[in-house]
Amino acid sequence: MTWVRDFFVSFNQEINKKSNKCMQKCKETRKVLFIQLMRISVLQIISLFMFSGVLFANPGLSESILNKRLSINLKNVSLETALNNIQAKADVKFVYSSTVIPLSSKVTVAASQEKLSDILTGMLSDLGVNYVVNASQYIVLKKNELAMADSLMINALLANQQHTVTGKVVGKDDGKPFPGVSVVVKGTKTGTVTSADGTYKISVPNSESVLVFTYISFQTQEIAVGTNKTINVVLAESSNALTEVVVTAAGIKREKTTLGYSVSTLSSDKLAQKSEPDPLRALTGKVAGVSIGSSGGVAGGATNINIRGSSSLNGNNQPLFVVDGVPFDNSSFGNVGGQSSGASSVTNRAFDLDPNNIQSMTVLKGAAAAALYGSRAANGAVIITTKAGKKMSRKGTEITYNTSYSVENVSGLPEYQTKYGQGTNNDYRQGVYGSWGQPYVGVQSILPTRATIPAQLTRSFSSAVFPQLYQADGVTPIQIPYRSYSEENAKNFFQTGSVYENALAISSGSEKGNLNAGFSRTNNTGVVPNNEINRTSFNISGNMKLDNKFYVSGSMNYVTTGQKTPPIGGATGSIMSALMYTPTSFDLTGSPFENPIDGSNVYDYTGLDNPYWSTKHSVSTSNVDRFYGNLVLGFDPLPWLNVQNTAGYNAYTDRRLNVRGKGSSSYSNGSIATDDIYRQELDNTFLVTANKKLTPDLSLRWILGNNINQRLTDRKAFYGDGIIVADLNTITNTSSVTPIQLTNNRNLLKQRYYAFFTDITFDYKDYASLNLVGRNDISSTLPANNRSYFYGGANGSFIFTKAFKMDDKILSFGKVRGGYTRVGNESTAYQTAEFYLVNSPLGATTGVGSIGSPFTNSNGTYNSSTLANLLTNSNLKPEFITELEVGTELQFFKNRIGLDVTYYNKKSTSQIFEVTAAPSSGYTTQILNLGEATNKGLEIALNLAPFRNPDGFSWDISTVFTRNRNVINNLGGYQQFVFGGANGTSSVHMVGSPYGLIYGTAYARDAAGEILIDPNTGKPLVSGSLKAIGNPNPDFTLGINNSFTYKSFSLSVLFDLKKGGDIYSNTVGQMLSRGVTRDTENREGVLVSPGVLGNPATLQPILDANGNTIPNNVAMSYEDLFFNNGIGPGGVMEGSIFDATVFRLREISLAFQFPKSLLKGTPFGSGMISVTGRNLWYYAPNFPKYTNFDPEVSSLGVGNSQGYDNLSVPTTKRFGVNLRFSF
Amino acid sequence: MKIRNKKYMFLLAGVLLTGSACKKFVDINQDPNNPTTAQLSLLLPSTEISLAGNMYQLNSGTETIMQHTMWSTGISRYQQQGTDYDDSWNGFYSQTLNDLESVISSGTTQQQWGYVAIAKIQKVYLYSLMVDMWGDIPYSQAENGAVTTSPVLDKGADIYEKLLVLLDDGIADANKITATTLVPSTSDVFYGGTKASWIAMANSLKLKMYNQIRLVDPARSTTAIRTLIAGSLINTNALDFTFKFGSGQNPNNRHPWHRVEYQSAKTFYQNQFFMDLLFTSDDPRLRSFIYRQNATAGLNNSANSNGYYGRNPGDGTAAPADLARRADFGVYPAGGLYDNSPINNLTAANLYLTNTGATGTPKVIAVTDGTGAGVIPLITNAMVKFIRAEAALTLSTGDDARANFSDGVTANLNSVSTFAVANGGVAIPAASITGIVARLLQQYDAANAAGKLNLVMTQKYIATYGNGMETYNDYRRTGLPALRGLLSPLSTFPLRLYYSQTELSANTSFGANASALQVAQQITPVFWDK
Repeated sequence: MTWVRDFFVSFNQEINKKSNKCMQKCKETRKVLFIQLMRISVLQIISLFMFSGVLFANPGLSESILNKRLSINLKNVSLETALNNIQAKADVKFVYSSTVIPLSSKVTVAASQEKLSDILTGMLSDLGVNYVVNASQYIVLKKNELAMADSLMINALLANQQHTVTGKVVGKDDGKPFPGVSVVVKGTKTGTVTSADGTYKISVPNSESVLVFTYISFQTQEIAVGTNKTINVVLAESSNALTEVVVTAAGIKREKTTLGYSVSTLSSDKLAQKSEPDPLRALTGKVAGVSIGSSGGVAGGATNINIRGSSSLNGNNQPLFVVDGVPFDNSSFGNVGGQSSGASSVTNRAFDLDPNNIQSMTVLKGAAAAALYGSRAANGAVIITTKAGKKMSRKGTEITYNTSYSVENVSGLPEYQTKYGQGTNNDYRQGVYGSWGQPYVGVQSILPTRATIPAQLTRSFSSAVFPQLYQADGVTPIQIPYRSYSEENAKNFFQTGSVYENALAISSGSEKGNLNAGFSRTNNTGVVPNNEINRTSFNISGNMKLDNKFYVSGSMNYVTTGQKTPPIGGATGSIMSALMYTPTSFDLTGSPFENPIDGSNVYDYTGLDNPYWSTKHSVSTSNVDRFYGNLVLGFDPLPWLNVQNTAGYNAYTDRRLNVRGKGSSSYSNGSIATDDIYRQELDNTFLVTANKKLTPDLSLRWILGNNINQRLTDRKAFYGDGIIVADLNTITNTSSVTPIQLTNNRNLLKQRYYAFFTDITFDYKDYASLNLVGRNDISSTLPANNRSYFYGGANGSFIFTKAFKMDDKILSFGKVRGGYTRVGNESTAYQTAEFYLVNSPLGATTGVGSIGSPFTNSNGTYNSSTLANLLTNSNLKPEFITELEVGTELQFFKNRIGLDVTYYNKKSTSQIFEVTAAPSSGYTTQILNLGEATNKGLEIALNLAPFRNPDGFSWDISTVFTRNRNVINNLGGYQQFVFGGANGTSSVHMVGSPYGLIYGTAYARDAAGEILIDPNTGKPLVSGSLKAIGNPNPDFTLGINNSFTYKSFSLSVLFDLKKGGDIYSNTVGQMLSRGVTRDTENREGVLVSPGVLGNPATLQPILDANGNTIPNNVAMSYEDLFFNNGIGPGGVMEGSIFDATVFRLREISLAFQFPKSLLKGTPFGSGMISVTGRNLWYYAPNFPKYTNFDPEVSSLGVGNSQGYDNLSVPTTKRFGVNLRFSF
Repeated sequence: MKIRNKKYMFLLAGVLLTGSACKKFVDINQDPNNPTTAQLSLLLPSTEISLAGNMYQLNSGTETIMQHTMWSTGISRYQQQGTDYDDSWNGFYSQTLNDLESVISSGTTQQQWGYVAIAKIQKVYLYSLMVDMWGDIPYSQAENGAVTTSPVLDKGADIYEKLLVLLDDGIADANKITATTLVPSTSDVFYGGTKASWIAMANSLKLKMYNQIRLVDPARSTTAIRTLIAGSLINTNALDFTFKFGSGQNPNNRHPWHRVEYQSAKTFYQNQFFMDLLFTSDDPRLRSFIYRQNATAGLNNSANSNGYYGRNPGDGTAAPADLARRADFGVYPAGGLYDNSPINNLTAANLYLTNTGATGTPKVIAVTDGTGAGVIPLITNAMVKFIRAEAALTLSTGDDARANFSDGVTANLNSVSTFAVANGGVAIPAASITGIVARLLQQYDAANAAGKLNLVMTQKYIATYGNGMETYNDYRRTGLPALRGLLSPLSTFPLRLYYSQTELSANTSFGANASALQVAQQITPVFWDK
């Protein structure tokens, strides 16, 4: 067998020889690669040209180093001195092993403007030392092998032989050569770095040497040399969270172990490739403390995000989004104009971020983490690093291509009853939108059944329109079968939607800098016809180290998002208005929906548009063009000092067209409203960072910073009345156009602030850290005397396992952390001075009681001006949030069990909020500057690794638990504030109660809480005033992710549970009251509602002779119970409140990594295929069984008013296939 | 080291320069969208338009209680909610009264007495109406948000006293103006600024108020009314204090009843009581008041009637699909269509409500039908005459009750007829008017005192169609006309209206009593309701 070994030895020697000619070889390899790539696409070729400039620059540079000319004159000095001297003069660096190179040998050098190569050759050749310039521009000194052979011949066979080790380093994920990896002989200064093709060559002093391979954010590997001459290494990305470096506020990178507060980071693999085009929804269940509310199955529906509960009573509770160091607006502007399509159908602008382009997402949850961002991060911050913005690109070129295709379907439709048709009182009744009618033929019933009915549409349409529905006389409707269509109506309306994503990312880099570029396209077609959202994004970014201690980086992104939607989201005229409770005997699928004469709406429900008609004629659009980017310029004047400025720009225009088709039953003339929204944000951050070791054990990092910011919103909306030519959706195609006044006519909003801040961190040894933060904001939104405000805090961490050098067998890592921070918050613009509105609508704010301006009657035209109904506050002060956060991180059994627990207590005071004012004060809303609310919560992340075998089977479990309790402590003397809401309900803050309760009509009750029943009707009495009827805040949420890997396969399964939290569900209320689901199938009887008899006039219980209440004894029919103001959901709003507890199989994904062998001969370095399912199963136990309702819907989209479902589009489930290739 | 210091100096200088520019940088909190001051000439029309605009809920609700129409089944069954009239309450206080206070205060400063006079008169009109509706309301502390955002409730009786004083102030302010117009015609929607009209209106308002409180102190009312009838009152239809809507749709200036009903989604039913009253009394105003979409539709959507298909008061059953079959608002006051179609079951005894010249056919109404330029009759010539008749019958005012009764009926018949003609309808022949009046006077002469008052109040009830607030007042004061019993009442006749839920929730002065206070509204009479 020795011949085999000999063969390899000689082969390796051949290789080694070749590696000396590395540059040559690299060029060849690249050429081959280049030719291979040419086949792929033009875009790639263009990019490659751009990167090839960077790559091919290297050989030239290395030669130029050796061509440097210098003068030097040294006599009889040590080699070490000589090298240092040259190092200083020529600005080069030598790498060598002090045990190999005879540093103390005396040398003499005399040169005058000679090439460095000549000087070195002359100086070193006598010492038997060779040199080579590696890719990192180091001059690596090596012992001449021949010389070595001469001098060490005798020892050649000894074990302690000094020998050369060569090898190649590749990345674990892609199997591609890994350049720039540092290879050091442990305990020495001898080292080298791998070249562009991943190879290295190093001399080791003896066989007991250990080579250490390191690269930032990759797992360090130590390999004993032994007698090996070739050591190949596979480097894997560091999965050990304990050495994780996270990006904290203001872009400061810190090791996660030293942080005094809780942050959570999600890497790209947790976000991309999950068949979820919305980056926020992809977060659901994965981060403790973060709550995500989606608005059901609308493509591009708004997503509400909340970190650690809502603390601002009325202001913004959404976290700040920061993308590559620049704030990223995540507003969700409601629609204005003739036809509202509901808040939930308007996406929030974080949708403009492509999950495929996100490198990592860091959630800064508390005030401590986010204080440096100031006011706007008072509700936490989501720091997103895009692939375009990442700095640590490995050298070499990487091209990644992702594609995925998913199909989506409505996740659950109710089980409809199929026994009774349209009507009331067990009688067929035309046009009634209840299904309490007669039973069908064949149904077991005490009631007479019915076989046919007159064609329903004849009720409203004559034979001139639909002759086929009339008999020959043109007057008598034809009879059609009376049967159930309930199982088809809603089901047929929804279609199979899809998500199709393509993303191409290219990155290339060298020691000096790198360049990234990407392109992606996502197309999401919803389950509702004509509802879709497309996103196309381009990005390019790069960074470069300049020679004069400067560095520069920048990125530019362009995203265009187009959304199209029929009226969705609960507003009257929404396609969902009657869809879920279409009378069971009405054939929605088969009935015509367009008037054959004029194309107008055809529906049996008067006043509402047929959903099919709406999806064809009333489609609204939103087109967003967004640009964002940054320019970073940095300077390292001293080794410990860094100065950096980041200038950012982020702006978009959203051009909306809101269409109510011509021939709509709600307004037959039709209307078109345009709404052009321009949002711009400019931001500049200047940072000076000093890093100094004060003592060997204590180091200090001191940051001084300045931040300047401007935000601008400019919105122009017009209403065009009366569409002239149907389906031509441009506002010029309307008969008259008037400007739309936004609330308080605030079309143009501009606000600015500037701030100074400091961040001081002391690190003691490697286990204790103290961080002090202070910031002073000066905001334009506050009155001059209050506009400057200071805040800050302190936090620290202590790794006790390291400090006490504890045995790590059981508890391998233990850390405690804590912090106390206060964050100030500004107001919104123009809240300090009283103002008048010119020609604003007068009378009721909406509806027919509103009179448009200018007013014209038979006497003339009148312009008008009215004092605004907003009571402004000229003495506004900033609001403050103080937060105490303590936590611990523990790792047991060599990181097999990890536990991260955080407790926080967040208190917000002197809040600025706009609330309803008592109208008798002359105003309907007022700006208040008081109140106090607290959020206390617990966040637990538990990670378990029951099996962990890198080559075999591994099983990881990660669990996140979130519990938040909020209480309104004080409303400045007020007992309650009402805000938001939908469909007659609203939200209310009440002192002593949780945040934002649901407020609406309630049952009248006696002192014991029994519902009062009207003795005349058997129906419940309604309380005199509106009441808090539900609490939408969940008790807790839990997410459990199991991931399994076996060889090339990996499987992950995410379950989540949301316990508690009420929802007002108009969908369920309507379905029950209209008698369409099987919940109301058994109906042929009467029942007595629970409760006691009450007096309708006084709302007091009626008492018997003994002064006791009388239990209800009045029976009523099922229909009355549900439909006619009975105790069921059809009456008082309280009847439509349900507990929204829901278990869910959120995400399941099975991935397969193509083995290298399969990819041989293809241009792909690596490939992966995965199949994903989202929301495949859910169970909401507290909803009526057959409604099969998924409470993860919200009709109000983004905002503080939550817990409402006003006929939302049901949620969807998705199946997807994803492919990823890298070249 | 020196070089480095220089670098820092530059940096410091940069920071300082930035600092001096900073104040300007953040001095941008001036609203660029809206003015911070307002001209009286723009504020005054705003108060008048918002007065009418905010009346929609209040008028529709009281019209329902009074069986003129049926806006909501809940209200029709005497069940009130805090959201029934909240738009009206909220709008009156936050728009109309707020702007009126602005006009009064800045007009006084600028000595623009014409504006001040009109504003004070309107303020009295609106506040007195609000006391009539709700009883105790915020007054003395109201409209002063900068000082208190939770004004207390003042007693209705106390407010009335202050209003009577304020009304005299307003008249006195008007008399400071020597010209014939108080304000430019473009600033006054009601009277084009004409001084004499406003004086007449102010006096008529005073008459209405003294008549309203006549049960409290009859002697005081008698004295006051005696003086008033000798002075200038609204005495021609041209002087009617009536809000006239426009026909524009964008911006929408139409009568809210036209807006809500002349589209396919409807809110109202017409009241069977009211239609029957006019039908059986051979009253030709029926053709102006009600428009039939179908010639044969009848109660409960039957198909063998005369098209006057409405609902009986207190009918709470679910609505069948009858939006294209219901009888609906006609030309007066909503600005809809005049019903010129034959009525299939008129008796030969009918003299004035006949099919003569009835050439139309019923149609399903659409937004393009009628002009929408309807009216809300606030204080009309006819109403003034009926008030005088009522006062003459109940107090010894020395007035001629019979003549006023006759004049009132005539004035309204003329008013409705003129309006109908101007809006595509057909005139009531002059002979019919005299005939109707003569027939009524015959009944009047034959009646006893109670019967006379019943005739007066019933005719006032018909003549005040389109203004539910006044008929609601009249009913609570006189118990007339006799209304139809409710099919299925949910409560007792509301003696006051429910407060705005918004006010109840937001006004801390209500305290924990809010709910009890609200419930008590139903059964607590207003101070003048003895």
